Amino acid sequence: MALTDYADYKSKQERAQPAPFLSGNPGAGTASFASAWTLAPLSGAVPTTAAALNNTTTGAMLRDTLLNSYTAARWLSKIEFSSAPATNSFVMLVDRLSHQGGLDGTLTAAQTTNLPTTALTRYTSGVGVFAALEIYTAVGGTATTATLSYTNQAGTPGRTSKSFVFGGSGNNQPRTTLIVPLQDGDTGVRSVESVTLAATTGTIGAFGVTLFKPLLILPIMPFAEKQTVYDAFLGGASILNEIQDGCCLNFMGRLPSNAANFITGDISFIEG
Amino acid sequence: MAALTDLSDIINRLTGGNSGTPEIVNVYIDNRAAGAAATATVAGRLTSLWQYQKMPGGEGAAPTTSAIPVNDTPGAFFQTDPGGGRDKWLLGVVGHSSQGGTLTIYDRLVHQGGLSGTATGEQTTNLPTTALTRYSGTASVGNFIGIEIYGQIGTTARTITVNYTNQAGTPTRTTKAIDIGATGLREAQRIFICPLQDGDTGVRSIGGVTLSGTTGTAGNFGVFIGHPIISIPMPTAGIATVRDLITGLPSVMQVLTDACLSAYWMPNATTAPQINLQLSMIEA
Repeated sequence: MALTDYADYKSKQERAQPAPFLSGNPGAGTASFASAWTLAPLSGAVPTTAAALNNTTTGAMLRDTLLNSYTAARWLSKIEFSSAPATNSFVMLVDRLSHQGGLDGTLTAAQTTNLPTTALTRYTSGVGVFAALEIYTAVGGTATTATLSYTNQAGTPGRTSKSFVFGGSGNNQPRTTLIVPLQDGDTGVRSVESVTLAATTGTIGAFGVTLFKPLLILPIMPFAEKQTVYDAFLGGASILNEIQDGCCLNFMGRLPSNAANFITGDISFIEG
Repeated sequence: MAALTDLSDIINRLTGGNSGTPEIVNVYIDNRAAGAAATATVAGRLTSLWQYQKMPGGEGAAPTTSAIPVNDTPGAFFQTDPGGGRDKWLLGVVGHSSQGGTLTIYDRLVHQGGLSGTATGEQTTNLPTTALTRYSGTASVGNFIGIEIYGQIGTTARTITVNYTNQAGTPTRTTKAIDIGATGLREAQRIFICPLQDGDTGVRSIGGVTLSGTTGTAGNFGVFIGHPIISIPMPTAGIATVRDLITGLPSVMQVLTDACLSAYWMPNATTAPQINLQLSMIEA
């Protein structure tokens, strides 16, 4: 049920139960857009076979039952957090929907190991669902390009992504997450069937496909331990996301390298 | 169509009440175009992101004959159109770039291509531009003229002017001459915004384009008419910027039905950017 007015919002916000979280810094060790999935303390496993993810999966940022306790629509209304990087950076809170691994940075034929990805359990139409290649063990230092064959938001199989850079400096380190530009006209992904590299990167490494839904882009202020406070209605650009049952929250982002960094804070949800 | 009444109305619609149909459009812009690395940017020179690879939607094509791009033309941001006779409103934008610069989101109203960097007379190939379907007639106030290079033109520095019809419907107006050609002003994806003739505040159509001389290479370029929506400064590589239009300027912005939201980039550096964007919209 929709919120009726500002008083309703304020009342529900006051009664919201903030959920604390602690996450690794997704930029640790890489200057590229990267994922915090495998980082301590959440320590999500490196995937092998395709799997759908939810809030009970090890690696999810909020694993308590809160995310399954709502009886009506609920929105992510506030988040406050602090992090150590003393420079400009950002994190993106995502709902990690599905992933798989075991792909090889040297093969040039279409790779179908552990593919296709599993059927989506949230955002099942695929509209707005992003695909990315996530590196788990460094691939080679030779830059090449990759393409994906996928099923789009309309259920049309055999779609081919644009080619995008894979491997090489800045695009080969663990946790690097390379977002996939889709074929003309497509607005999302239901599943990925294969991955093709144009040439070897020089090292097998390990990487896989991740499907996710972006929820929030959050700036990190350029001061060490600075707290960032985000309110969707009050200065937050009205990026008010309705959260789906069993969401698997996780951070991606582009932060400076500092393996000792953590991101800590809490999230508030309001229910309609 | 109904006006947004107050903050409570916005909250109600943003959570799905009163046919608010909230939509958050997530956009990723990759620094590649047409299967290759995008042209290096030049600090202080505008770069069009029309042909950059995107999620959603793919990448914009170089136009030929005059055409009206819309919200689901590849190259655009693919927001949905409002239903039920309602209007669509942009409440805020959050953006991040891998490089420092300023992003401007605009509605790409009409475009064409096929112009030559060597022709010296007035060029009317694929012109005049098609009649506008958005920000047309007297609503054309604020529309701007852009010149966009699709295939590299020559190394000889020239100037260019555009013959257009202004916001009042007066034809054969002429823009101020601006530089084109030579390094930094000739590469694919470069765009130039044309200053209008004295007293003019907008554009209804474009009739012709004239180079002061040959640049030495034909290449391929075109003209387009756009309408600015919002700029998002991202002054330092890595910083994310929040533009809240409820508590901040310029205020909630209407996004017209079929609007072809696209973007251009004012770079601070020479590396083409990768950009993540979120746009929050409701209907009323």
